[in-house]
Amino acid sequence: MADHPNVGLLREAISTFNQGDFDAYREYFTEDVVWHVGGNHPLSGDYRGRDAIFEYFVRVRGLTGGGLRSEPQDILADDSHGGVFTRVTADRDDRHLDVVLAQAYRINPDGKFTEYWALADDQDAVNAFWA
Amino acid sequence: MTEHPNAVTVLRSFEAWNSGDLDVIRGYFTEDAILHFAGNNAMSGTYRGRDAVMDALGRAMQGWGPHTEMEAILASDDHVIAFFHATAERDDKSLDVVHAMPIKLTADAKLTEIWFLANDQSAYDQFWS
Repeated sequence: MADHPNVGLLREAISTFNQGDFDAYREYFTEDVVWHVGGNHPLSGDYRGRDAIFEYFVRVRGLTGGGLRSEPQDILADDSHGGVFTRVTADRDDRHLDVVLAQAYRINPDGKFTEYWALADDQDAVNAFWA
Repeated sequence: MTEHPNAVTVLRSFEAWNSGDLDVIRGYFTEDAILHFAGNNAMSGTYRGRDAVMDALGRAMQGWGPHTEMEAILASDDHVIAFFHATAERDDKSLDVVHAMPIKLTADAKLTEIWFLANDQSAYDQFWS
């Protein structure tokens, strides 16, 4: 069975994220996207609107000296939803992060993300990394 | 399109949840299943092992008795992601959220790891506090 086009879209978006090209990455989101970051750490919470989300990405990039690296292990999609299980690694001073993130996306008919959820398999490790 | 066996497991588990049949759900979990309950509330945390998972689900059902309605279900050989609407009433509180629920499954279509995350975490926390 051929992959759903939204599988390709998600793969492309993650690769753009990994290249750190935020101008290109912005194009994958609607203006009023909502972003839910799970966990209990200073970056957890709901981010509303593309600007708020990109402020968050800039913060992440600043804290990690370059940002997170995301290696998708499995990508699932239908016409209006996507899911990615991805290994996320990052370094921050002497801290190292290596977790699997489960991500869920809502995708509109134009192929833009309107809502996003993320949770890690080892939430304690994520909380400690950002604490 | 025929449903993927992993989607069938998840759909049956949700049916069982809506009819309050925890024993059926138990049968779908592996012995070493893990449940991650997001947020900052009485249910939040990671539950390890089928007994702990079922204990948590039992508590959730008691305090919540929520009705779930599937919005979409995505399945691959290793994973499912369910998007569902959950509504509930408890005392004078009501809940109405959309959950994204990523699930890891084994080769025999058993649930081995589950994450709960609501789209309105503060409403969710409030409901559970």
